[in-house]
Amino acid sequence: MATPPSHRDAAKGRLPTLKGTLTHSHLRDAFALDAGAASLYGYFARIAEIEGYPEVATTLRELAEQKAMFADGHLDFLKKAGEPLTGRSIGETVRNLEAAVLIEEQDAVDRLPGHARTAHAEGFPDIASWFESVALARHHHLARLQAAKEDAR
Amino acid sequence: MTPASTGYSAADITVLTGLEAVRQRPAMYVGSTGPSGALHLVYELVQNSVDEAMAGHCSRISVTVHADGGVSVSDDGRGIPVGPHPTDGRPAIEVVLTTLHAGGKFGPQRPDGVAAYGIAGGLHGVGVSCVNALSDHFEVEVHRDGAVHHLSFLRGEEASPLTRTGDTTSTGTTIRFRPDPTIFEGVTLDIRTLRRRLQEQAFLHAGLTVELVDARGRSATTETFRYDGGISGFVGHLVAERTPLHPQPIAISGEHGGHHVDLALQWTTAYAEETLAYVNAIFTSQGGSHVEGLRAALTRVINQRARAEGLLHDDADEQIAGYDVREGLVAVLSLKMREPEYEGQTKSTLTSTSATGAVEAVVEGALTTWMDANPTAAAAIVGKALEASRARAAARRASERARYQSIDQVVSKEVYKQQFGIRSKNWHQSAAWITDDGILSTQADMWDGPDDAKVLDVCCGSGVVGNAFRGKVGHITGLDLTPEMIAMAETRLDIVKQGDVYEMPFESNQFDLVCNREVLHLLPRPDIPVAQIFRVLKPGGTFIVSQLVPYGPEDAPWFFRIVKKKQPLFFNNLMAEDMVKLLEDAGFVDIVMQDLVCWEDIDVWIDTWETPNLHRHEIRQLYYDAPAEVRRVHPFEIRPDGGILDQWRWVVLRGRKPSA
Repeated sequence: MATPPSHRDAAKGRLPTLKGTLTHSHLRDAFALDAGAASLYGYFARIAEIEGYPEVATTLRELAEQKAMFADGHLDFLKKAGEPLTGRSIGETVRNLEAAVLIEEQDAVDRLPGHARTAHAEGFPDIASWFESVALARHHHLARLQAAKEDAR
Repeated sequence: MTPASTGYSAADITVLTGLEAVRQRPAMYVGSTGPSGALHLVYELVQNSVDEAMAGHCSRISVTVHADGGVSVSDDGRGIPVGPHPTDGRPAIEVVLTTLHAGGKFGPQRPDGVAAYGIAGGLHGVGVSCVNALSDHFEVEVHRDGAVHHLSFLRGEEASPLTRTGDTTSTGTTIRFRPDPTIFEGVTLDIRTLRRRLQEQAFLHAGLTVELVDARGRSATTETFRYDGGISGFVGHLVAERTPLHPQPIAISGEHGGHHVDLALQWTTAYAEETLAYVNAIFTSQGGSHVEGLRAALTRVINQRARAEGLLHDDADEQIAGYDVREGLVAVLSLKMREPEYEGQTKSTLTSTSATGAVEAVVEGALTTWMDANPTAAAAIVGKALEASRARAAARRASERARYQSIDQVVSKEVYKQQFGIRSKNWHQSAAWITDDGILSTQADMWDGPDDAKVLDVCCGSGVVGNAFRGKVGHITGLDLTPEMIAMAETRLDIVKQGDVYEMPFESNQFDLVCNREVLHLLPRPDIPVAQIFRVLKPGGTFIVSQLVPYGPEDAPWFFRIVKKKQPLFFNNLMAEDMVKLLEDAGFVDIVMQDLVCWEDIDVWIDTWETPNLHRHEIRQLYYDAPAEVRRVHPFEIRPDGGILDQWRWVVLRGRKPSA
């Protein structure tokens, strides 16, 4: 971990580096929380709609929209220090696509097949099949992102 | 290039006024230039006549479909006014027929306090002029003020001016038009949909006679719809094919804050909910604020009643969820209100918030009173809702139990018996694929062995798969787990054994052909039955199997969610490639695979006890919100009434056990 920058650095007019600080890790946590909550509240909203609570659904949807915006705000700061999933710096499209390709690669090739094996071993064949289905789609996403990367160059 | 040829002046700006705009962009006005657009023209005219009926001036509407593709709509209303228009000077009827957004329903109340129309439906607010614009031939005859008047147009241009052609004592309007074939290319009128729409209007307006004359054939046929029972009759008509939970539909009618609410509802023993909602006689296919009010009232009344009867656990704060309350419900809601607001042009969703409270108040009061007066029926309704709630919990438990036991790869036969025994009653109606000729004949055509072959149909269900080989093989044995299925299969197959696929009750090397369909995805370990099938086949024997599969990686996760929500015992999202591998791994050789598709009515497919009401709604939502990647590869159709047709992909595989 980098040496924690002090207030004195700021006082001298030098901005501290974000990478490796506690604040950096807080931004990553906040991103995970808000991006997750945005999706979760969208899910809740659909159920509220079906259950006949239209006002609740509206509230949840509006909160989800806000949360997604918060997550974007966290990313604004994380751009240079690295996006939360791979730690790579992002910003312009070519670099964003490089990060996205890496995310899909890690997930499709490595993480999800491992998850599926574990689910099988633990006696959850349906969840294993779910992970496998998602991994399959991920391979397809990887191919699309690689093509997009070529286009962007 | 000379400056003149690149000139861009005011003269180059095209302003589309009036009817030419409609002819240039027809889809913008009537939705499409396909069958639904052509029907829309008829609806627009019918709706005008219905508005006359709602205003109390019309009792009969007649629609005739002619052999030349034309349609006549006539009513006995007041007749479109023919006198000079106060600002325009032209006859009012001419203004109405040639100007967009002109008509009797746009005006405010007149100084004498009487509006021409109090409450009106209207479709997209473009009116009859739009129909005129999109017709190659348009003719109108008005009976009004003791005289008959005639006026005609060709492609929206006046062909013969307003003429008085005779005397009459009657009133009314008759319009004959033909959708312009250069716009609606190759379109023939969908008379079945039109018939449903007209019948619906007769139901919605008690006492109104609606007639459909089909004059396309050598002799015309006439159907007449008139229902003095109104929307209660409508509910009775919808319930006809189901089993009602209480003998008569509940009829509710009331006023609240300028909203007139008419509701008829009846619970049935079915699982799916069917609620049709109308605002000023216009069908709102996606519901909206009025339907929300209805749902809120139903949930509150049923919960209150269940609590008052001591059926809910107070300590656990037990609640019956809205979707459980509505399981098996058939309802028609007709709301009449001034200036309704909708989302979008097609009026599919009502957004007026005042409607929620009005519907809620009327329904809550009247339904509570009805339940107090009909305690037996009320008990049946509340009991059904509680049962739905319990079944949902049970379905969850069933899949959890199956999961626990699958850790050591033992499957509880009881769980499968429960799942498949109970729905065997309506087995053949529960999905189109079960009796689909395409799948059955593809399987049968793959058989190229001798006609005295010994066949085994694994998980034979009602025996249709084995039976499809009849005539091409000798003796057919069936195998199934549930006594209900065995009883059904015995009517088709030569002998049916009870037993499970993990340990088949047969000696090795017995059969020339084993067939199976749509089973492997339901088993935690599909490789075991495939190995068993390999074992019971003679050397050189054939295995033919068909399976519903996703189209590709794009729709695989989406498809997984849909099937899992429908069927808790779904364990393997098998892809076409997985099927090949399953056969290869078991030792099968010479594997061939055929692809085919089959349209499946999703609403029928999910109308089973194993699919909780919440899941049914979630499945529909998955279709409505399907991601673009899914839509690109997986064809499905959402009908205007919100129903879903899915084009399923099936694979049929054949493998051979190597000869000794």
